[in-house]
Amino acid sequence: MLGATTTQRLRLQKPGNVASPQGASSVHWDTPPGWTELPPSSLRQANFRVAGRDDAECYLTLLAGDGGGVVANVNRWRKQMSLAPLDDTEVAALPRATLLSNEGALIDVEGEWVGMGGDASEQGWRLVGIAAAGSGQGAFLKMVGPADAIAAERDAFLALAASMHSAASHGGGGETAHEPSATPARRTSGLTWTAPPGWQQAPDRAMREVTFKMGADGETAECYVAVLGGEGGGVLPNINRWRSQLGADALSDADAEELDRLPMLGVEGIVVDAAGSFEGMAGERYEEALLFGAVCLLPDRSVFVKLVGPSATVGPEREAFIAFCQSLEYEQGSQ
Amino acid sequence: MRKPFEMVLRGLSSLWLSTSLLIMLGILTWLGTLEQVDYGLYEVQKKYFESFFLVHQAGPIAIPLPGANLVLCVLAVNLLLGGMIRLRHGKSTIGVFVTHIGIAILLVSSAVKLYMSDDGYVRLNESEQANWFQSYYDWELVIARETESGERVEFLVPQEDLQRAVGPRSVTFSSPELPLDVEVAYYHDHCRPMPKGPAFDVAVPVVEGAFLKSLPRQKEAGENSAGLYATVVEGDGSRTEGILWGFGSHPWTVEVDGVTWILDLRRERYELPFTIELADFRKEEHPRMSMAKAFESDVSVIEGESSRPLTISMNEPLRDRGYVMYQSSWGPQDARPGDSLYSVFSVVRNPADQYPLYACIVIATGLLLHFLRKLTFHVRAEARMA
Repeated sequence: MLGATTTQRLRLQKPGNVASPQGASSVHWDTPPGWTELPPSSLRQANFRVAGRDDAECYLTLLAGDGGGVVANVNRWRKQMSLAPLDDTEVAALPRATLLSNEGALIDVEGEWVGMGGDASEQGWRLVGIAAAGSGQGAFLKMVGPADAIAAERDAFLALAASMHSAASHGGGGETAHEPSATPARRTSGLTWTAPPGWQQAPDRAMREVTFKMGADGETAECYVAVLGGEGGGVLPNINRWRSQLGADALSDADAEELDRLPMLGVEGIVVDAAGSFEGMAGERYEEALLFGAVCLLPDRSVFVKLVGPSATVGPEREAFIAFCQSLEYEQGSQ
Repeated sequence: MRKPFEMVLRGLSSLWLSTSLLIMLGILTWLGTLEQVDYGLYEVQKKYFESFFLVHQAGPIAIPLPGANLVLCVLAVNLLLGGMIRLRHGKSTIGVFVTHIGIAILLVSSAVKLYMSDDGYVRLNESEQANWFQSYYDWELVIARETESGERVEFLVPQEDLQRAVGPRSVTFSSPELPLDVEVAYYHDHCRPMPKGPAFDVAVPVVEGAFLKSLPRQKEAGENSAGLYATVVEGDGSRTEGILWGFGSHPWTVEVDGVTWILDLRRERYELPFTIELADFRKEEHPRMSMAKAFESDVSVIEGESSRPLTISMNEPLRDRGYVMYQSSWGPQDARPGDSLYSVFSVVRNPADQYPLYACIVIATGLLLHFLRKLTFHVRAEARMA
């Protein structure tokens, strides 16, 4: 085919419609002039480069349920901008905006961008976002980048948000975005696995493909799989973020080269471990904790598998963890 | 003055040197086989067997060694001087002399294979034809356009030229027949394109939101996917940047003065002196298994107006004018019953294809002559003693 775009030529775009978490309806939009559509990823149903700027991006994330809720997501964005969280009343007082037929909060803040992993540092950045939830779906549209670029494109962002609609809601037939399908969100990426004996699947969590719990009460460890677009912020930053959670030293590039490799998902994954003290998301604290992680870079996404918890529980699960990583597969046609 | 020359001559033709060289070949084979585990066949072949010198890394110790290429060259000289020139010529040594000629033919055949052969493959669907085959490993940049009559005009840049474009140092390719120059930079032996996000920086240019991420070379050299950044520079100085990736799905097209130019990074292609068309592909599977037991292809070899039908099977290659075409594979491997299959042929162009056979015949003849003579002496000696 002649005249193919860079995205098509380099196989960066998956064929087919952009699916919502329910996997049934498609989202359509009018791309603002000067913006470039980038390949979607598992967590970015629409993805843009803003006005030709390499350092500014905008993307839409659709999550099942309420996607963690408007308040939590507004505060997650504020945290990425090094800003203090808002309480429910303050979030409710934010300007309102509509996204995919759901009313939500419009956030427009400036600050130091530290990124999703907290390891970036960009002064003078601005984030404009709409967090909307309702009718079984959370919709989150976010634009972030240097303040001058974002200021110039704020109107374009609002126009983009207004143009977004699901095909079903415009007479496309089939399920609408407001009718959640029975298909679990974690299946939309096409990732499958075999759970090791003794691992109990936990309820779905935002940003995760699947979560497992294991071990006795009070000594419970957790293993989860997350899939991010592209390099997901980079292999080494993620490995070092994990290690820092246990108080372990950061690894250098040279150290990372020495890490074990594990065949998974058709490529070589990188396996990391760390020991130290760990405080879980629910506030539980283990003085002797152990972490096993695996990072797998695929052509258009990154797969992260992390097992963390008390040493007594995690230690004996190493073989099971390796087997679990190797059991991961993408269903045919989902890559 | 004559004495040093004789000493050198004696040394080069000595049996001691022959033995040392053969032992060195054994060591190189052993080291290369061990290193193949980590670096794969292709890299090891280049390093140990197609080189004149190499450095073998034994843990922290670097050991300089002669490559098999050098060893075989010296062995050829040793053979020529010791086994053929300095050999006492006469009836008693005719078998040895002929045997050495056979070994010399074997060495010549390996040199011809190394420097004058091409190998690759061609993949054909049924009813499809090709008059070229492509390399397993090497890449080439093709700059092409189609004429009004639909003919394709191609300008080729070989891999060795592309490899000069290391990092940001660009290499410019131009031709008087081209209305454009192509600057190539950041050539990668193995890479993959990635979308660039704002959360990370990259040390290479970003073109339309994408960049090439360099990857360590694969053990299986055929799995390496080269990539490069190309800039088309028109006569008026205007520049258009693009990324080319070997495993990309489509070529890059650029409009210059109303003409569409096609730029593509593809496996290096070699012409065949004939056209081959796949008529039918058949495979026989093991009972109750999807594993192929045997497979063969009915093909037509087309030259001008004439067409010659024949069958290429696993042990029955097509041999024609120094080209050998083997049935090597088929696909798609996950095809279901009734799906259309393609056939893959390995193609080797080796002018010395039959030399090893000739060498074996000559060596066998020489050894036969020598042993017959020895047998005759032995029988006569036995008869005298009786």
